[in-house]
Amino acid sequence: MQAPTVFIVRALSRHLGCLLAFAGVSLATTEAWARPTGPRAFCETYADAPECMGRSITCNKCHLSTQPVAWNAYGGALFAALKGAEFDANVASALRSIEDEDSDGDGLSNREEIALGTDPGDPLSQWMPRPTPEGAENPSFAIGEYDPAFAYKRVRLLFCGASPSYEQTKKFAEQGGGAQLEAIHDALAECLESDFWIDEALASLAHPKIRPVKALGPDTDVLISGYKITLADYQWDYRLWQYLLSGDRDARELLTAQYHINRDDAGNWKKVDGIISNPPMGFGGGQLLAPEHRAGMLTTQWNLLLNIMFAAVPRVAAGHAYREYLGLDLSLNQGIKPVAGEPLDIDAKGVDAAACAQCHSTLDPLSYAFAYYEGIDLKHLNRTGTYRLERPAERIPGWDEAQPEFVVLDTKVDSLVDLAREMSQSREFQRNLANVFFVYAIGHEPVPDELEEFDAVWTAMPADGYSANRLLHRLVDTDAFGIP
Amino acid sequence: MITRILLHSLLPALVLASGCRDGGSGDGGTTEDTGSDEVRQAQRGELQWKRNAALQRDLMRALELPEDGVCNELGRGSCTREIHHIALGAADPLRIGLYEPLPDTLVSTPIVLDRVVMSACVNRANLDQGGAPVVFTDLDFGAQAPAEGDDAFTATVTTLYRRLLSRDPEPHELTTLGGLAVDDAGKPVSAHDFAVLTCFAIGTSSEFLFF
Repeated sequence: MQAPTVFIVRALSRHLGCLLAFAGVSLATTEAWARPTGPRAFCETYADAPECMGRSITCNKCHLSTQPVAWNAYGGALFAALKGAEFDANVASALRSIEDEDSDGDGLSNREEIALGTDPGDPLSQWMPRPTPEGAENPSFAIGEYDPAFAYKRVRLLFCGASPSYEQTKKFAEQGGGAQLEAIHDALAECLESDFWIDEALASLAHPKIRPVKALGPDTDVLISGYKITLADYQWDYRLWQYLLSGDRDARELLTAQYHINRDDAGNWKKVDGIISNPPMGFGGGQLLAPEHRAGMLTTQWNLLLNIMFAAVPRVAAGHAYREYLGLDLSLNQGIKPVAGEPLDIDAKGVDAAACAQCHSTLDPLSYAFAYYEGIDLKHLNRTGTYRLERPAERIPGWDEAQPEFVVLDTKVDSLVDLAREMSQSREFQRNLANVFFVYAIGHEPVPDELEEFDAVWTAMPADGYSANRLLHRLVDTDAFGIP
Repeated sequence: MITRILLHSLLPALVLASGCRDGGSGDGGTTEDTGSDEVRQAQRGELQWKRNAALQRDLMRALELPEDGVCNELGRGSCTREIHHIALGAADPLRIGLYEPLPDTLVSTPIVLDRVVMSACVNRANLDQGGAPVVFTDLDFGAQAPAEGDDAFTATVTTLYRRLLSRDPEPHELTTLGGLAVDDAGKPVSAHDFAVLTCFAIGTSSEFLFF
């Protein structure tokens, strides 16, 4: 592996005229050159780049490190192209000016790599086209083309939980091409109503979002004086997830639902409006939040308990929502969209330090909206999962004076309900949901030659009424799913 | 003896794993090149493996076993759901906070797969031997294994192929599995052993385990 400085030097050697200026500036003001506005500027310049479709690039596009700052070959070339000019006003033209260069020397120009989705500053970031099939006809699979039999078996296994029987396989094989494609969708429709899909597979996809903890939930065996220490019931969360991602329902309600879901004695879904009291002999387990303050999965009693707990400024809850429902993990520098003047460091945690501010300038304006919701208050355990207008001022000295603004995805909002609605309307939400299903069905994240059809799948969500079922019907038609 | 027979049983599994059904030499029982490298190879080569739930459900369906009849580890719990579920690609959020399955197989995964399939095959053979047979309807459990080419042999192998792989066996596959009807000395094994070994060989083939 080459040392980082090699990349920088190689890039800069192409811009000798700027070398001295670079050295002087970087020595004098090193920290000032990590630019959290860079990812946004890049995706404004290359809005059609695969990495900007429903997501955004990370700092790694240009940087080897942001603290202390160090550039890769592409970042070095961009720095040189800026020629010391003000960053935000000139970055677009600087990016354009180095498009035809091959900063990392891997044989592809920077623009070609951006179009492909590889890193123009990393010579090891490459995409090798798949080889053209050669040889005699494969008796088992249709190689290099959509194989209906292969796709049919996959549908049955992934969504019904079992392979097609001999009789089903034989019947399928006897049909013509068009009828086979229809049979694939018939099978999928049947499977998407199955207990396996809804109660097992779909529920398993929610584990990272809900993160159940047995000891705190309804299955706990912790008792104190006969009093069951259930702090919240994550089954409400699972049911809402399962309900909204089945039956052609609107998946956006994952973030906007102001109701909850139960099941009747026959196992049918039952919508429950209004406040749901905690069960007797439990500290939690209901849904005490007033409906007008609800934002689907973000405001269930369990989510608020687990992700806010004792925090005055609920950064974990905000970061979790950003990661799990938009696919943007701030800890990985994903989705950096800094808000001017942030972070305020309103709770004096030191998040305005240079190393922290890069992410907290995005995270904190998200977090403020959660501050009205109670996680755990040891003096008032019955407050878990409730909304209290006075909570931020009680917990954060200076809250009223600071009057922080709530911002998500560059949009100012008035409340967590608004914030969640904004998230639910976003391309990031659509892409992330589609990505969850893509990884489940294909086994990996979309790679460069799958991105075009993947983007076509998730960008159809608005036309499909944000139905997960219809998204899955599009997904099984893709080459990624059906070509062996 | 049983170890030798088990090792012998791996032979057809390897042949099946070649992914070539009709490119074999047809002489059976050898590890000769089946010609699989001459046919077109998959461009993507991104097969998925049947994880715990699919494995269990496929064995339940194919061998008509109840959920608790597939594999139970020393009476302590289901192999696929409680004991070896992590190795078989499941998550376990409640007990150990594993919210997503591990991305790859573990060192123990092949052993566990063998364990589960063997258990299911033994359970089915025992049930068929002790009562009205459901899968091994053409075997006489009080007798020796049928010889390769016998109607009972062909019917048993065909039944297992249809149930586990949803297709009929190719002629060379029938020939290959003929090796499981006899021991190293060439003497017929019991019908029960033949049933278990044939079921195990097909049930641990890559064709059964991957999709």
